[in-house]
Amino acid sequence: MAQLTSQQADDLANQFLALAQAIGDFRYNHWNDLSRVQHNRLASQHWSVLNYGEDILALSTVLIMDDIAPSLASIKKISGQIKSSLGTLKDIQKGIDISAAIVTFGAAIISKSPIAIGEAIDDLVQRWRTLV
Amino acid sequence: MKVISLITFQTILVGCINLQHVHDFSDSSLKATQKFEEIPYTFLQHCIDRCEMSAIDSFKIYREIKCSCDQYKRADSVTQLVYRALRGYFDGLTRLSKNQLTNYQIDRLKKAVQDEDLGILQVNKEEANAYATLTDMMLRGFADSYRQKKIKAFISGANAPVQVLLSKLEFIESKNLKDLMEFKKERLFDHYRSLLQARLSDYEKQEATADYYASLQGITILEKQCMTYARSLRSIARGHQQLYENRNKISSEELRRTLTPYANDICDLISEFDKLKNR
Repeated sequence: MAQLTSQQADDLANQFLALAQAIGDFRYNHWNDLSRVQHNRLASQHWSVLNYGEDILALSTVLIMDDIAPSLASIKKISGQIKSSLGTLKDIQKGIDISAAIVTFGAAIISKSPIAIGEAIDDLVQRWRTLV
Repeated sequence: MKVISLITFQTILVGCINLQHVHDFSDSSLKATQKFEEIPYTFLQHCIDRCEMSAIDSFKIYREIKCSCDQYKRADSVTQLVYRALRGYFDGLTRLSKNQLTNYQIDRLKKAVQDEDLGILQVNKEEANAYATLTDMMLRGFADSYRQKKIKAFISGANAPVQVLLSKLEFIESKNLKDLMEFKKERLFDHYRSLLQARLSDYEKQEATADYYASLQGITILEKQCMTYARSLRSIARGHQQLYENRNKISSEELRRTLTPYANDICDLISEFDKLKNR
């Protein structure tokens, strides 16, 4: 049997709705002519047809999965590549900060100040860690 | 020297790249897509409401109402997958097209080379400013050129799947979810129509009628929210198509003029959605 498409399932659900409305209207228009048993049977059938229609609408959504699997995979891949490009552009700032830290470190060595050297090393290590 | 001049000239030219309109469109698209999370209706919710309505209609009281909603949960999972994929893409595109992304802070580097402790290596303030300006321009130039090239490639590769996913999400919202509400309305109509046939006082009949119209109003607002959301998805799809067709002149004034109405239309629909939400 050929697979039902999501559009066909949606159309089918609407036909179930029209059918259910017809059953409901019939029951209402013959309210005083129907016995209690007939009333209960028609009410139950009315809501059962509504249930079928609703279930088909849920199925119609699930069927969409068959159509979108390749698109989902493509978008997931591209979104990953965008994240990677964002990372590259942000790494430029990190590179600038590391250059500044290296220059400061060089200055600290020239100044021969142990405190300044220690602080410069700490700063350089911290910035390097953000890059790797 | 000629090479440096050429690079500088080239970077000045490339430095003029403005992707603000791409950012504005993408940002509006992201915000509109995220309105999905504000629609207080899901397939599962419909299934639970249906169970409760059936119990109310037949005067049945349960300690815990049991509903068979597996298919409805699966429908929600598929919808969530489509939504998250679109949100992820527009989130990335919004951040990548933001002009401020390539505003690099070079003050620390400028200050470092001016440090007096550098001795003969020290650079005076004027030279430092000149180097900083040149560095800034070159960095922006190369980074913007890279950004433009990448955005062009991403839009090119993403357009076909984005169109498919937008149309499917639109279908789910404007057809499947909206049609479920038509079923809900029919159930409600049948329940109250039958109820009014019972022996009730005029006051009770009026109360029941008022309850019916209040419930109907709630469903109608939800339907409008779904339809407004679906319209915003259509606008996003059309705008993205324009972006794709003009990807080779991505920073042009012409594309800015083309995209602006789509971004405005999406913003209007966001505002329309918010108004419905607050009713």
